[in-house]
Amino acid sequence: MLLRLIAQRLLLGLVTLLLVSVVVFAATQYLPGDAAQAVLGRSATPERLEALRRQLNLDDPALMQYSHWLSGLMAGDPGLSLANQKPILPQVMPRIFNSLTLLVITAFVAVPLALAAGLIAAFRKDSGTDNAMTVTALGLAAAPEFVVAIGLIALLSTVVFHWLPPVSMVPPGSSPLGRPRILVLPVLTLAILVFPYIFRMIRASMIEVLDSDYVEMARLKGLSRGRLILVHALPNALGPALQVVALTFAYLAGGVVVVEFVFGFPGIGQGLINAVSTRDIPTIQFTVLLLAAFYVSVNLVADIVTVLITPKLRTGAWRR
Amino acid sequence: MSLNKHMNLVRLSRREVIAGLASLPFAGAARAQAAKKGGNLRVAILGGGSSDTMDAHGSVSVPDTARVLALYEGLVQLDPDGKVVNALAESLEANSNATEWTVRLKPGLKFHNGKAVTADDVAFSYRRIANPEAPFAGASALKPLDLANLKVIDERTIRFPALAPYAAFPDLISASHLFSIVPVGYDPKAPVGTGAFQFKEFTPGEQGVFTRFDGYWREDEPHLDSITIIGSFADATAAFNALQGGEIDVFASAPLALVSQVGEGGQVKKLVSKPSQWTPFVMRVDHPPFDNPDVRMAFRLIVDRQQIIDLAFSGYAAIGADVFSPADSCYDSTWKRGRDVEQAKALLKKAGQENLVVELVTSDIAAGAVQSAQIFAQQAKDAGVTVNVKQVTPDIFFGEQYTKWPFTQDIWYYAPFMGQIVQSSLEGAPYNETHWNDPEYTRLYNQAQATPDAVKRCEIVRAMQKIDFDRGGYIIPAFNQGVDLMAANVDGFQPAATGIPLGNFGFRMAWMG
Repeated sequence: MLLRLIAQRLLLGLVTLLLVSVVVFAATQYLPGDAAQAVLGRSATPERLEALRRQLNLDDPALMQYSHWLSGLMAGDPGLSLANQKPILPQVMPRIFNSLTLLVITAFVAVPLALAAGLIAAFRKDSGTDNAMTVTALGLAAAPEFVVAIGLIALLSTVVFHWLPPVSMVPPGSSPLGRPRILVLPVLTLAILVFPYIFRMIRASMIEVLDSDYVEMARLKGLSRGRLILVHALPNALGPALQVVALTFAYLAGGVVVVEFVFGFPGIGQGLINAVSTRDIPTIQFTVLLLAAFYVSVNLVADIVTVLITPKLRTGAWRR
Repeated sequence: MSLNKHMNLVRLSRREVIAGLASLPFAGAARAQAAKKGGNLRVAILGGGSSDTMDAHGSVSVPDTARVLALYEGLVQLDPDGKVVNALAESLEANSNATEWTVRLKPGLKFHNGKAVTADDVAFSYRRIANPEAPFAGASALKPLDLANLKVIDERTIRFPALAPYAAFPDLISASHLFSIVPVGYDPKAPVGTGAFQFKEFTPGEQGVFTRFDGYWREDEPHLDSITIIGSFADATAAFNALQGGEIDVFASAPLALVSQVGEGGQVKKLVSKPSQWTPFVMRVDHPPFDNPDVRMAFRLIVDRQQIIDLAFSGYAAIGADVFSPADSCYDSTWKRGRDVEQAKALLKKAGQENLVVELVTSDIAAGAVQSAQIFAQQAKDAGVTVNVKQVTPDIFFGEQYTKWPFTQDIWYYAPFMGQIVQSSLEGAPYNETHWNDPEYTRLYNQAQATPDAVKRCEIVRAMQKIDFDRGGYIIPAFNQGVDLMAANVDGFQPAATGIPLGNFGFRMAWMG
């Protein structure tokens, strides 16, 4: 049954990806100008435009360009960038790796913290601790990400303390893991960004579960507090929270442009912006497709894990 | 007044003055003592992206120009004062009617791969630039040359025949980043030039590393072991933070808002260029209402130039008088134009254009450009003119409509006068945005090109400048100064008049204390 679900979702995912590529390609056709115009910029004289368009095959019909790109991709080759005539894969993959590094570390920092905080707040519902935590989380959620980033830079790098590098440059060919210090501020910014959502979701679903009849029953039976939480309450509370975590990280995978912008971090968001500004359609297509694939798989994994850990769903009750 | 201001602004630290003096000819010994050897200079330049290039002739953005000027050199170049001086060329001589130029290369020049620089390489380079199948930006200036009939005389000598008199040839190729000399069979993927630095590695939109060329022809240069040109910053504040945090050494061409945060004597210092870049208002002289010279003159009289300098350029500019190329030796510095709203009103009335409404298309194409447009719109109200400022994104600005907007702005670096008009002010020029096609002007241009005598040519150039001053399509409120920020231990860059940051990207002279 679970296998059927996975197969079904994978198939749907592939259809989604194909649709995404069509929609993105159609959208790029509506951008003003083309790659030749964007690359030559101010030096785009009519003769130069014509020569470059010929070189890049931009005069081919749109449908032909699309099918050419798609057949190349099927063969495992996303092609050459229109902006610099170099293979796309080695340009996009390091950026994907950088963004993923940021994402995974943020996940390992933010999720346990938010989980713990959410549980504590749920148990002390309406206490001073709970109120303080909820208000703080709301405040953090309300602060725009660039304010958080700039505030952290001013606090930890430039104005108050000089502990951390204010920018996170990653020279090509090297890994951000080679200089972990540069990751501290971006991770902190992203953790602050995602913490409130996960925290609030854990808190809310935990409170709901704790109020439910079966927990009441378990409590009346005299189960220990630890066993009650870990074995009975938490598995049912995690389901909704997991969905939020998945959505949050699928969103982060798109590269948090603001963070890349403020810290000069070479992630996928900036790469995509560069591709759009040079009308580099094959690179836009490939990048968006990778992101969409990530999005689809994160959701798939979240669904499967939710089914596996939620007792009600696991026993088949979800099929009605 | 404006000159005093300018002097104040470019007051240099003592070290910079010493470094500046040291670079004068005859002071080579002093320089050798002062400059420290070694080190990797990390330079951030905004404006990079995935279309970044190292192609010797294909530079578009400012970081492209930086790479090209590090890797390559042309026959001639602009010195810090904006004068045309020989680089790889030992001499350029015209025949009596300027229809043929004989260029002789300096002896002993070598490319990065060890090959000697020969006349064949010069021929190859110029034909590559002008290749009709894929012309580069320099092609338009080479149109008068008969490149099919270039004649290699010997290893170091080449003759350029011209299709029409071409007395200003050195001026026209002085933007050396467009006219680099590369070896026969040049491949931009493994670039080879004669510049002070040679290619090591490069990733578009991120960074490039260039190491010192030990066979460089200038004595005792370069001083640095390597330079890293970083084009990955999308945000000026990030680059500024990086400079403050010691992650980079130089931030080329910093926005004025950040420059104002830099005080004297701190960890970060400024290099203020000479007045050079200009962001004119552009009036299409073939489009109503600007087809009437009275309207153009009225608009020029409306401008309060000092106010634009103070507000849009934070004082980093020298006043302009609607005539370009102030660093050209033929420039007549007596041109002056002040504000005269009454006369502007009278001219508009004479032209039947009272209560005129125009649209001014602006874009964030240069420091202070959008602000200038907004200030001009305010100033125009005093003369009863309504200016509706329309801001578009730079890619739209430089898109299909570029050079076609009736009333707009642009950004120019310094070029010698003759080089400038070939780009902007002749029928068929690639950037003839004013749609200038003045018969007298064109006649004078042809006459100047047929006058090899520099002094006589200057007289003709001044007559052309008078036409620009009296009825041209440009309003040039100011010549702007660029400001580069750098760590206090970086030295050797000189303020230049070319408009290209870091003293025309003079990496070969830079060193770190």
